[in-house]
Amino acid sequence: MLDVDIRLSRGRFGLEASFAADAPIVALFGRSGSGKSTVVDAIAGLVRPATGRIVVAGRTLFDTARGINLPPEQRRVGYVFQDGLLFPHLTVRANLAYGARLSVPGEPVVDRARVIALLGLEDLLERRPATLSGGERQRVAIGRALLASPRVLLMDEPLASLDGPRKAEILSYVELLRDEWRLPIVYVSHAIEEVTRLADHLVLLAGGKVAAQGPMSEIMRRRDLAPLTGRFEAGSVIEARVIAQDEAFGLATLAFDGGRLVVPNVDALPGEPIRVRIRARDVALATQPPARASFQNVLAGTVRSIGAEFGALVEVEVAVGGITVVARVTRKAVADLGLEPGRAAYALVKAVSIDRHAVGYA
Amino acid sequence: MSDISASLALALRLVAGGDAGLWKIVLLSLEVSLAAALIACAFGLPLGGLVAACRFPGRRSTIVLLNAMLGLPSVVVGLVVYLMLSRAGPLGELGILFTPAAIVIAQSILVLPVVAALARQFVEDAWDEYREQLTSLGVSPARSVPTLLWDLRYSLLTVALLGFGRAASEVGAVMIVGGNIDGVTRVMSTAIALETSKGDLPLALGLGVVLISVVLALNAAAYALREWSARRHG
Amino acid sequence: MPTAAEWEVLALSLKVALWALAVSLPAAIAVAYVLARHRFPGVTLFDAVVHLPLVLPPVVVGFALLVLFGRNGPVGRLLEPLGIVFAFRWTGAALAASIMGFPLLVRAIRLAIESLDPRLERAARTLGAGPWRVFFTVTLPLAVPGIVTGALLGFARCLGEFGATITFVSNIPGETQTLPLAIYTATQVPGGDAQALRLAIFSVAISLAALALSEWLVRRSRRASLHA
Repeated sequence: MLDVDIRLSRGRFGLEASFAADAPIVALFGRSGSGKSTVVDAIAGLVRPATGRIVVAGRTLFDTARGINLPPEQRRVGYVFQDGLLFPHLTVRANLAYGARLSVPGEPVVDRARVIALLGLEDLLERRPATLSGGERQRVAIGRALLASPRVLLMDEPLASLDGPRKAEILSYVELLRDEWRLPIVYVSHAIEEVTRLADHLVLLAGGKVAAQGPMSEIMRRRDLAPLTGRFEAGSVIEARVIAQDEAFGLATLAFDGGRLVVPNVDALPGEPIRVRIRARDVALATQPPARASFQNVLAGTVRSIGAEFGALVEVEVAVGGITVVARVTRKAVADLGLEPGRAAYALVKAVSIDRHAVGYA
Repeated sequence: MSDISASLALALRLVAGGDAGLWKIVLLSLEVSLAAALIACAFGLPLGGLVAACRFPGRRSTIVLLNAMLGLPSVVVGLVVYLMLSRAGPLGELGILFTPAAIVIAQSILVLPVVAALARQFVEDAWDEYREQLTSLGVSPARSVPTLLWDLRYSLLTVALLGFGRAASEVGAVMIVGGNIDGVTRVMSTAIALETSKGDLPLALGLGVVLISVVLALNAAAYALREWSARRHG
Repeated sequence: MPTAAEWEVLALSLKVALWALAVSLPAAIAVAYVLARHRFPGVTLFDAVVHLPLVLPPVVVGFALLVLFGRNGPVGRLLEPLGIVFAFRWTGAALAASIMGFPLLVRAIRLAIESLDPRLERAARTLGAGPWRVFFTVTLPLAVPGIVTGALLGFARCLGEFGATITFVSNIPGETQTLPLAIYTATQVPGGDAQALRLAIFSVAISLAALALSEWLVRRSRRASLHA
């Protein structure tokens, strides 16, 4: 539903982005200056590429070959900016109403009451943006964008100016949006935790070019992309489902295609799908299950490949059932244990390392 | 239009031909405005610098006073000077009303707040840049002002040029304190106003051409100076 | 308290200044917006032309107005059959004042518009507002404090305008004799010094009131934005 193929240059910065995706949330990820905000600005019509094509939900917004360039106000994109950008001279109510359109036959109009209820904005309606907290401002910004009846929602680093607890709060709202609203979302961020938690399809941008794109778990696993996704954040993403809760010890048991995972402090009901990110640095390897150790997660698998070396360290991919777990260990350990592709091995993951930042509700 | 072009032709002949009457007026204007600009700068540049860099008692009132002077109609300033210098006034003994000296005084008073305001702007920006270095060298704000003014000398030169242009353009105050007396206090601006009302266009046009040229040349010089100093000093 | 004659001068001055302001304000807003938000070849030249009345001597501006808008001038002759006459009428004084005050208006308004976050206008576009709607619902309301300040400064300047007025429409009591011209006239009359002083005091009072009002508004808007 999103088809982007654009080229533009601004001064010394050149952008060449080509990607297509049909997923509820498409994430544009990359370091600052990699061009991700420019791509989103181009989709919104705020920036004009030199050549290219942008098609959203079957509608051509921009096509130099056919001479199409819709102005921003005709593109039906909702844009949530990094710091909200609420109109300071209007109340929250007026801000929300700014983009509301007259109903067009055939076009569904967004239910105002539903948006207000979804984002919890009832008490904020008569307030002015200057008196709102960061989290409240972002919620109003999201509401304002939704009430313009957009066909796609663009979010440019919406959490960047929020602190920890606020980030988590808005993140869950975004997840709620994805589930309840059925609106395609393009999410821009340079924070890997946000992206792994939310995205289904990932587009990696670096230096103004698309370095890679594809399903999220696949991209995250690729070792060659580790420098772009962040070396220390290399890891694996596992789709799992809650099967049991241990109230006494506060642990949840998740089942995935290949085994079980024990995770602390996950507030989810049995049957709920969960996405778990495990950092490579948190995974240890063993050739036999440890006798008495604290590891709650001992995953039996086979070494798939031994790859990218970083000085004294090396990354080892272990196939566990239908998924792959990446472990970062010392080269010495690999030599001592005699690890090589095809060898049976156990991936040891401390339950502690799977904190709430690593868990997302799919 | 035809009489305008005829007058213009006549006017240019007066200018190019060195008509004594016209050039006498021009010379007087330039002398008077130069004197006024120098006086205004002598007081206004340090004042602007001090206001920008130091916190002294009475700073706020000085700023308010300068702003008020900037906003006052020039005829009011002219009137005040006139009343001061008139025979009934406190400085009447000097007998300088209706002489070039009176014009210099009036113009200086009018140009001073302009010069001070511009100097303040320049020094404020420079002060922001150099404050750390100067204070670490143990230089007090008051003592920094001369250094900053010297460093900004090219920008301040443009301020002086603009002040000169402002002085030469002034007409209301000059009419009141000078009286527009032929050969004594008739400067370019007042002469233009007079000749236009008399309907004598060629002289007014000729003077107008010279006055515009002077003012535009000053502005061009100020602009060029700024560009040159920016390129040299970055 | 002003005498009847003085009231006449005051009323004329206020009428001239207010009309000058009313006519030049919309133009100044438009020009300021273009200069603040658009980049096009020749923008520097346009900016210089707008600032010309600030740089040129008032008498020169008055003279140019006389040539163009006088009874025999090209524009004057065009407008006369329409009933619009500037020469030797208060309308001419208003025209002179508005041109002299125009650059001040443009500067203040441009500053106000430039201090606005341009991304707010972009946000409004994404919400479905076309450029005109954005201007009237976002840019203009937010620039109002700056516009008001500029208007007050321009008003004070119009009240004090002398050189261009006397050169263009000369000094006709009741028609073009604004406050500054009246002050000057009073000094030319023997024994008129006291009269001149009285008029000057009124002039200063109005100017200072306008300046004080603009200072107060600036401070108030600064305090309001600090709370933001």
